[in-house]
Amino acid sequence: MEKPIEDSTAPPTDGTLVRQTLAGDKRAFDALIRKYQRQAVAVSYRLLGNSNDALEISQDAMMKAFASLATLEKPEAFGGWLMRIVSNLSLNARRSRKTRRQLPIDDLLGQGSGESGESSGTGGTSEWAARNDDPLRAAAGHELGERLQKALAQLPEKQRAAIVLFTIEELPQKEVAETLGCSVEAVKWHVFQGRKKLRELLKDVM
Amino acid sequence: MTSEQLEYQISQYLDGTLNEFERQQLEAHLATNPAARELLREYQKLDSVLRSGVGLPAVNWDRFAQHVSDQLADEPVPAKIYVMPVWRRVGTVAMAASVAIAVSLGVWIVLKSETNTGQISPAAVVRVTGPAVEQGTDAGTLVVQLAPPSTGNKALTIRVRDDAMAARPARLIIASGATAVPVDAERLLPF
Repeated sequence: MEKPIEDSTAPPTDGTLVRQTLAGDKRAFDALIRKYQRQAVAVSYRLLGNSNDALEISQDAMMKAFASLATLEKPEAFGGWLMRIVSNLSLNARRSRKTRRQLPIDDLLGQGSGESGESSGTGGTSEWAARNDDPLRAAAGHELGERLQKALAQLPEKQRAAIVLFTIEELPQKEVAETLGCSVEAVKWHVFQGRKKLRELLKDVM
Repeated sequence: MTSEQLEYQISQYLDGTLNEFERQQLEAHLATNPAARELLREYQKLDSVLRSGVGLPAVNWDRFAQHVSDQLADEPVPAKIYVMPVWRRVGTVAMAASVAIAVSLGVWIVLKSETNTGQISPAAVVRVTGPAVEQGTDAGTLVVQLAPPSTGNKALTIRVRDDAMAARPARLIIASGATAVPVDAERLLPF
């Protein structure tokens, strides 16, 4: 029987990378870090509203994911699992507001670069705005981003988390429910209540 | 339907989570209610603004990834953990045999046995290391397949009691001359 032709140019799946990591190849986990770092920082930042904390939490989440990688029953579900870790750590951090001083924050913020070649002049600036050469538009984007972040911060925790994870990050409702420790119906309700309040808070920018 | 119920339905409609009947009912209502259509449009716009407008801090992603990688450099590769609850008695001939397993990846195996009172207690807990572990498909067999040992790895042996049972299928490379390596069961991580 002929073996099916494999596409050797296709990037390895998350499941493959997890299994390779468990087999001892840490470079495979490096690939997972690079794949999910933006989303992890995005989720944490949107939950916490603070870039320093978001970076610290994202690092902690990745280290926790590495340490407990063997408990992941479905390696292909690594991404959603990592985002749950990020969300839980972010929500816990928000409640306790512990400070962490392990990352060289100044070295990491304000000089966006990497795979996409993006760059930014100042820390805390919207990533979208950082790529734009039009300073007026960049400023407007930055102002909108701040308004949105402030509005999100005014939501109760579960509504904020539901909006960030489901509406913005577009994670499945079932995963959001598992992260928040509630039912899917409750997630739908939190999303609705969050939308309702945000619509009111942002009516002048809509 | 109250206005809040209608708004809730519109929110679910936007998310595609209404059932077929509810969706058709709402669409019929939207067709005749301009205020409801306007509300749907506002929610759609809100979602769009949220997705595109909440920016990220500018981060040096190469450095961030390298920093995390550096933090993990000294961390041991995570060990695969297996816990096999019991429900079925395994053939005594196979289980009476002593086994020897050559290993190279961390795996905890809990072999449980049923006492006379029907209680389940750990019979043997061993840590096995190997680069790959697979689960078999035949129920009732207690087998964990491991890759061949790499250079320098010691062969770990497991004694399987003849009354050990396994619920989850797994494949165990069985050889002769094994002895048990007792491990503190309390150190097991949750599975």
